[in-house]
Amino acid sequence: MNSSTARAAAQAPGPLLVMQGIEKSYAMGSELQPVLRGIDLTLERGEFLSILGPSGSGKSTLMNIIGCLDVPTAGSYYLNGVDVSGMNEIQLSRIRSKEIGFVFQSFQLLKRLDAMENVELGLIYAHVKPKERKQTAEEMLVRVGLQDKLHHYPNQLSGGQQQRVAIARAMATNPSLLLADEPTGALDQKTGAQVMELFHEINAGGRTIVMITHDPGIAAHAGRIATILDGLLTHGGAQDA
Amino acid sequence: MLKENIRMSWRNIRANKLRSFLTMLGIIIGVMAIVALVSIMRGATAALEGEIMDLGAGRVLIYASGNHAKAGIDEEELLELSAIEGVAGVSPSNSYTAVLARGEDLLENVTVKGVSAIYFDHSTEELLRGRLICQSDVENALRVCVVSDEVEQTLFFGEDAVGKTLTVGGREYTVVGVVGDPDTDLMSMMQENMGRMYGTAESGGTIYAPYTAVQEATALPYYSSLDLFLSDTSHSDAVVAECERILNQAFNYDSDAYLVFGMDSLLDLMSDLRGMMNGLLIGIASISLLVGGIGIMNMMLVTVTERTSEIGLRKALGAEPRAIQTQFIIEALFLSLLGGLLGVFFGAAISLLAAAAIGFTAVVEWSSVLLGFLFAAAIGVIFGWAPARKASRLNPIEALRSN
Ligand SMILES: Nc1ncnc2c1ncn2[C@@H]1O[C@H](COP(=O)(O)OP(=O)(O)OP(=O)(O)O)[C@@H](O)[C@H]1O
Ligand SMILES: [Mg+2]
Repeated sequence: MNSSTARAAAQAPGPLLVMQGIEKSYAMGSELQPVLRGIDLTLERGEFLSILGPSGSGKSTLMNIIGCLDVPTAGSYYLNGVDVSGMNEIQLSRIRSKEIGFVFQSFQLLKRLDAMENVELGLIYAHVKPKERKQTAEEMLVRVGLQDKLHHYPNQLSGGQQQRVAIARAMATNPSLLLADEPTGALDQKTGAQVMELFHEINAGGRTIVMITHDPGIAAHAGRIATILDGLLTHGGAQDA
Repeated sequence: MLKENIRMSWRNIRANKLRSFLTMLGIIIGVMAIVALVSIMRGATAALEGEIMDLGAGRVLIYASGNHAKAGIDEEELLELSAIEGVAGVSPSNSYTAVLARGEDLLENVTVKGVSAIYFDHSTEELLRGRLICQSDVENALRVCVVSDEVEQTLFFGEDAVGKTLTVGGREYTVVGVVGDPDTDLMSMMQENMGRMYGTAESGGTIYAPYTAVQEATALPYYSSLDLFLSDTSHSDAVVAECERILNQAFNYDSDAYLVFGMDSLLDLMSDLRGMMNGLLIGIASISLLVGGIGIMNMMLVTVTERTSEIGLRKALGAEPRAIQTQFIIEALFLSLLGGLLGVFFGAAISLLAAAAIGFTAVVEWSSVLLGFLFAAAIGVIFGWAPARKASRLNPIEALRSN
């Protein structure tokens, strides 16, 4: 039995993600500064959601909570049927390993590792055996169109190619949710569009995606757009991508 | 995961070659010190012990400084000591310093050594010409002497001294033989030092005369030092014990008045010395390894700071704090073990070179290699722990943001 069937078996019924009344405040001196002020969000499996908002509106703060890098000050958060809002550091890292694939604006590839090794990283922490790891990594790189760059190091790849490696890495562990924070922010328009095309393909394959951006043009690629303003989320309807 | 950690460590060390090398230097020097000094010391003490066995095996040295009641060993005790079972002979070495004269020419500060015939059987002076002091010389207290070639050179200006006469303290002696200088072995060094301690000055040259003749000249009824020559080397313990018993009685239980020195006490002395050296060595090595450890800790702290965003990424990808901590401890361990390996290599090389230069067999001991490695490993884990823990506790959000 390979890891993807194992994970499919663990899939709980109902929506992938349910957030209710999520609040997050940061202590600024003696005062608490609220950044998120009661966010409600439900995400069905297979959805592609964009969260749009101006700079400083709390997009990254929300993404950190969705991605289980941080816990909310108040509210409940169920991911794949599990309440993660009160988890400790070790539990959160296990959830991240299992459920979340991250794509960052700045790619976050390790410069001393080649493309294959970068893609393998998440699999190492998921305790996948070396042989299976290499096989999966290669598969993922082929899928993002980098079959002839398997052993290139990040500094031997273009920005678009680096982001493709990062996407392959995020996909390698077969996560329930692909979480991208400004994935095209560091790319020119053409390569950005190519990356968005890849996202479409991935979503078409059944993967749930949440993408954060301040660019309405990029947000428009998603099936659904939610806008964050003053710590509150306003939901737009589903749209045609 | 261990394999990945090791590969990662290796790449990071390779990517910062100079910095890594400088960091390892403390460990390298520490382990090198352990391996090289231990093997040099083992080799040197083995050589010394061999020499002691060669030279000291047949000998027991007795020094009698005496006390107010009794100034030294007298004739009666001499006989008693020579009668101990296993003693082949006794040579009282009642040396004193005198001025030699040959006609107008004077030679000052010469050691006149009163010896018995047996003395030359066990000492390293080589007979160059003529003959040595024999039994009848001693019995008849004949005024004959054997001179060292040093004395022959200075007093006879390179002429053959055999058959010529010289004057010692107003008495005429006939030169019967010439000997070379004794080897400066451990035993004679000790004898010289002891002699100095017990009142004889260092000399420009040496002549040997029957001890009976010397005693007549000095008119002293006592001997301050004796060489006992053993017929059976395996009984030196018993002989030493018997000597002590006799002297204890002779000096009325004043154990400060005499000193009996057998091979065993020499070997004991050597092992004491070795223990002391070992302690000293471990001290030096520990300090150096401590310095090395601090170097590693410093480098690891720098590494953790430099790689904060890497740590953040690994955490985002699901690495537990423990996995991060393990990674950095392994990196520190890798660094210290690599240092240890280089240290062992250089240490072995140095001890082999030193052995070749000084002239003994170097023994690179596995125990010291192992000790060096264990030390290095311990240093890696101990000093890598705090930086690794720091890394494992970084907040992933903040860590990802640093860049
Ligand atoms: N650790 C923190 N401590 C205090 N305040 C914080 C912290 N992190 C975020 N904030 C504040 O929360 C608000 C939202 O920040 P966030 O990073 O979520 O914005 P964003 O929507 O991602 O902006 P951008 O588009 O510029 O990335 C900001 O006002 C920021 O100053
Ligand atoms: Mg942001």
